[in-house]
Amino acid sequence: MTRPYSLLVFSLLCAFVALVFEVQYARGVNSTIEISRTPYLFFADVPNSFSFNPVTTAVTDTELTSDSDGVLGDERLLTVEDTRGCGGLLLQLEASTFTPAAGASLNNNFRVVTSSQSGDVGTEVNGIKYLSGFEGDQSGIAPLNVATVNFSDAELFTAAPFDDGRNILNQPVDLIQGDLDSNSGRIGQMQLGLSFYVNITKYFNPGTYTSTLTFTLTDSTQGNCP
Amino acid sequence: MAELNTESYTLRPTYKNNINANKIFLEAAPGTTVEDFVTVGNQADVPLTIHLYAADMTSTQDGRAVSKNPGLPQETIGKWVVIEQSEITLQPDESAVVGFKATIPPETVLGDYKGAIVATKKSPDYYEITPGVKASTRIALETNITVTDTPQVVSRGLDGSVLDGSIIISWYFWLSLTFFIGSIIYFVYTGKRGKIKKTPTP
Repeated sequence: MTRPYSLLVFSLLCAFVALVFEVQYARGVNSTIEISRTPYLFFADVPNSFSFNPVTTAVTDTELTSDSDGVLGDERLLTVEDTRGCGGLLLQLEASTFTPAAGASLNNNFRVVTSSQSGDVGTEVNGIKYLSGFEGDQSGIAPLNVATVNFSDAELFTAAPFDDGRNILNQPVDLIQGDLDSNSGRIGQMQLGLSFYVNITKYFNPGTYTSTLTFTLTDSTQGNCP
Repeated sequence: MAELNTESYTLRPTYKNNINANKIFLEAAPGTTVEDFVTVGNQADVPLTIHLYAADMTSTQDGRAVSKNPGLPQETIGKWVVIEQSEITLQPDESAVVGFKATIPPETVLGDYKGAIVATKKSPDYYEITPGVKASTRIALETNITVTDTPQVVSRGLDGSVLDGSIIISWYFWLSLTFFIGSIIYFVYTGKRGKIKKTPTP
């Protein structure tokens, strides 16, 4: 046999051996159906921008709510979609400092609460609504959840359990704490409604003020998902 | 008619790692630069312009880590990382790979640093000034950088994934091994033939 042919035969022999090992060790090689999903975590819907009603500063404080009719509308809903099926998530909210400066800090008087009440079909667990079709873990917690329906009631934002100030937007807050390890996961949509409150004191300068709410979504998984 | 989805965009590590595939883990020595990639996707029904930036971490009222807003002072990862393309416009269902480089200052104290690569939708009214409260969203990708004098060299396969023990079932490993062994045999074989030819004839 000439030299090039010997090399070719030997290479083919090696390739055959490699193929045998490949088939032996690779799992699922012979599957006839391959379903692939690109795993994503994203916002499906976010609350609209809004304005509080104008107010004239007075000797006493004035309390304003974003939903003065007491009802949480569709424009306040935030929906997160997780198609990963592995691992957890964290949803957080931060309000930028109101501009221009108002004399005293508007952010120290700016609060938020969440609610799972909405017209969408789903199951409410721990203040989070898992929308129709959701599969997987439902152990997430909405720490700023309220059960009441009157969102124009100032006490909803300032009385217990929020009298310790943990819903004040002078610091970022957690809206959904959905930590998981890599043995469990979620596939589907989770929803919250958000309502806001601001207390206008006599120390604020008259003016028009603006803040940006930033909703941050991030992975919160212990362990390594495949 | 269904409402148009104008919000859905995604951010994830382009290449998996061996610690947590949903996060980024890098190692670097002080005074060096490391590079990695993120994939940005548009899952919305309309074109989206996505702004990318790096951020340090701060904490929420509950003590959880959250990425700092870009306007705030950044001291570590938010300062070290430079995104190659900080703004990108994607059509619906389009995605793009964007590189970033982290340059660790020479005087950096050894240790673990946590920050984030952040994607935020840049809407047409992003800079509009109107009274009231605006809403914006962002996806934060936790980014961990271990600053060490002996950074681990990361080897990547053809698909970019970090190579580990599972490499033995990858086709390109066996293909490479086949050619490697074949080459050795070829050179040994041709070497023998050459020696035989040089044998002087009586």
